[in-house]
Amino acid sequence: MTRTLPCLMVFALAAFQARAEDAAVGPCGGLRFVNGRVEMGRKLEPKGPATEACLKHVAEALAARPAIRAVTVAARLPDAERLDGQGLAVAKAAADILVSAGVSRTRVSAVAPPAVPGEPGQLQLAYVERPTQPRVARVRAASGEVSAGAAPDELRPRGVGDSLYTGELFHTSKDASAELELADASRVRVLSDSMLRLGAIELGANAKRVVRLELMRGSVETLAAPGGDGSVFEVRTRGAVAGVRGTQFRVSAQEDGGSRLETLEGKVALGAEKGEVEVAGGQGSRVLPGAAPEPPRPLLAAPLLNGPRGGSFTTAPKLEWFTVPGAKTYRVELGRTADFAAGVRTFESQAQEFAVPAGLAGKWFWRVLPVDADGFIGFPSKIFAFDLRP
Amino acid sequence: MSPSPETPARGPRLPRPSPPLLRGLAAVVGLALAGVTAVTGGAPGLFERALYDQAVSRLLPGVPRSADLVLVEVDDRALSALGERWPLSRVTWARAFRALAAQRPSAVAVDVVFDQPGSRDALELGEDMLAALRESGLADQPAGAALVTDLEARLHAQDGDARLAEALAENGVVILGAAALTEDVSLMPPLADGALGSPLPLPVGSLRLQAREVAGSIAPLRMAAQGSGMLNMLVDADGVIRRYPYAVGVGEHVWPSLALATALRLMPEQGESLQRRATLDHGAPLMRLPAPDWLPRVSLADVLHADPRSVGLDLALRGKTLFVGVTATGLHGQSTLPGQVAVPGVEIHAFALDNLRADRLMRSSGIVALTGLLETAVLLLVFGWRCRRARTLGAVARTALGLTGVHVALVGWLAADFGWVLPLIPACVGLGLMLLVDSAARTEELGRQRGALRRLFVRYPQSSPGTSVTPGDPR
Repeated sequence: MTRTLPCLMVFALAAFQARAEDAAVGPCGGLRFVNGRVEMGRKLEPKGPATEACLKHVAEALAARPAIRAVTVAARLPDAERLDGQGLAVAKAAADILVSAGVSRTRVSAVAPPAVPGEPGQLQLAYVERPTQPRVARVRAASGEVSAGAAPDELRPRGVGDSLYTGELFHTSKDASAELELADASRVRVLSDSMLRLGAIELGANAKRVVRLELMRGSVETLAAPGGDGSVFEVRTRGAVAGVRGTQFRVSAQEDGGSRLETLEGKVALGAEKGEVEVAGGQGSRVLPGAAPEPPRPLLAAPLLNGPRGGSFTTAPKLEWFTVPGAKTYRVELGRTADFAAGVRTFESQAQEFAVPAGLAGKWFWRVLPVDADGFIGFPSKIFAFDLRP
Repeated sequence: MSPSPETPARGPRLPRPSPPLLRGLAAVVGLALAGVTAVTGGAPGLFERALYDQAVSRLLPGVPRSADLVLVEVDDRALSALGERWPLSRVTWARAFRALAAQRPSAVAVDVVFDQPGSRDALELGEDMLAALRESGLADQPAGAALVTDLEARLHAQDGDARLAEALAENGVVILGAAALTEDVSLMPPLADGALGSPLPLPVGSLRLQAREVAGSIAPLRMAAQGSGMLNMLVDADGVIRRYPYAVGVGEHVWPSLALATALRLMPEQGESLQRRATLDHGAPLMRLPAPDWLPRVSLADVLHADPRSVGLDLALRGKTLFVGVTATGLHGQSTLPGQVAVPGVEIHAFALDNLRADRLMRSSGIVALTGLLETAVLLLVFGWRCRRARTLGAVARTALGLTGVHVALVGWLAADFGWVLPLIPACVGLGLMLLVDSAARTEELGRQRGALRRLFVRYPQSSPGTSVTPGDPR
């Protein structure tokens, strides 16, 4: 595989980096497991009913993450409050709450490191994951219900920052989407009602990498990082394999066993039992069950948006755009961030306009994608924003 | 007119360049070398590294013996006494940090990255046994309950990561190692933004060492420690470490080296000046080398096995800044300093700290590089002027020799007293080339004059007494 410049990645990186997190706030004000640290939406006070409720919530979250093998509770208290082992006593009391909520005592430890000068006392939590199982992906952004597990009946809720391992299934429910960051820095956007199995990801010298993903259901949009010579990046569906020769493409696994590929940039090989076609940027192809891949067809052009292009609204605005020849329907995406990584709502529209549903308060970015009669999704439009303040 | 068969055909002859022009070109060569050195980060340049190494290792005064820095080394004796192989178990590290905490050091800088959790196979087996005991109902019986209690205690003691985190928190002054990942593929798992705490408020773009990501110890240990510092070195193409990167740029953030993180911990009131010094020479200034045996050493075996009330250990460690690292044969990185001095990496962090706090840093870029360029230009200009004025080749050679002496003395003086490392070779090359050009021009001029004289003598020969030669006859 040759190195290619991921032009669209530039767009994605230049866009807003802020991530919206739709996860339930809960007693901790939000909970994330990032890089060995349990991050909460607010500072955890050393004692009190709120702290106790939060720790119980953490214990529940730990039970859903079997890869986490041990937790350390740190009580960072000002020096005056740490004297004579008081700091350690606070940490041990917090550890006891975790134990009483179901975490094994042998997996909880307590420490009392010095506080950061000038900061009030607080509790912090860190964890250790199973070392023998290297992480192959991380949930970078998520909206709606996303879950992961070794088998379909073992799916447990997951959130931003969670690690994913080889062989795990990643599932997005209806109206949910997520963006995964793979170990080779590639990004995979898992659209709603999709299930993806993470295969082995091998990283070698000279940027050589082997990435294999299996799309069981739904659609993924992939932004593959540049790989060195001999690299492999494959997305398998039931009937076909999309092997990356470029950087950005979408793959959909259809209910009838067919697969659809849309290459936005670079070149992707679509292989099936009865043949293989190379689908260049701006083209799409599909494999029907038992058939060879169809010849590539051009994707629909990006719609030209009419408005609104920005500004605040007290009532839900109407989004308008111009007709794209060949488009049967239009997919309207509203996202909380300009990279459409999180908080994405997707709607279908038959006309060249769409009335934003009531109840979507706040700032939203929007774009439109044309869809042809065979379901091929074309290039996305430019991104505009509106701020709804009822 | 066609040329005669005897005369070879010749094209138009180019005018011979004048000696001043050739001298000017020679000076430009020297000046260009100095310019290249300046724009490529300062001295030592391409052809002067070996000379710099000899000078800095033999002529410049070394860092004097440290009074408050101590190396606690995992040496051959420690491995033998512990009966362990490298890497040491987390339980042993926990014992070591507890033993060090008992001596109340002012800071402990650790040249180790605990980037992976310790093995938990035995712990998981024990946990499974505990669960089986509870499920079977044996734990409700007195003997079973005692067994459960004993097993829990043993599992607690064997949880190396947790015990190490406790020891680090108890110590309260430990700075752990971290690594800036500069290769495309690294063996260490990278950390997310912000995992190492707060970055330094320094400009990232100008730093000499840039990395993609950082890796560090596992989260419980980072949380329990006082901070983390980068262990990276800047190794030149010839495998020699001449510069120490006090600050590393990773994305939009700047992270401190182990030496800088320790210095900031020791002297928080001097934070601003320490950070200012750390950014000299693009964050990686040249280092002064230590004198032999400048750093007192204590084996980890002594720390672990000596009586905690030992007066000797107390004198060696109390209130000191301890650098902990491995020096056992074949285990420490072969870090080669100028003069082919191989030292363990942990020692480099120690004398980098000493360089930083004593402001013994040597600088060669920025204004120093500009000074070097100007000095080279002045030197060559003076020599060019002198070449025009001097009447003999001897006088020119003496001038070149004198100017070279002045140049070497100036470069040596600035390096020794001010830590300014100016380029040495470019001026010498310029002077040498100019001398060569001048001597060639003078020799040619001498030959030309000699030929003219000879022709003159042939035309007007002096008659010897008693001989008669007709003008024009061959002699």
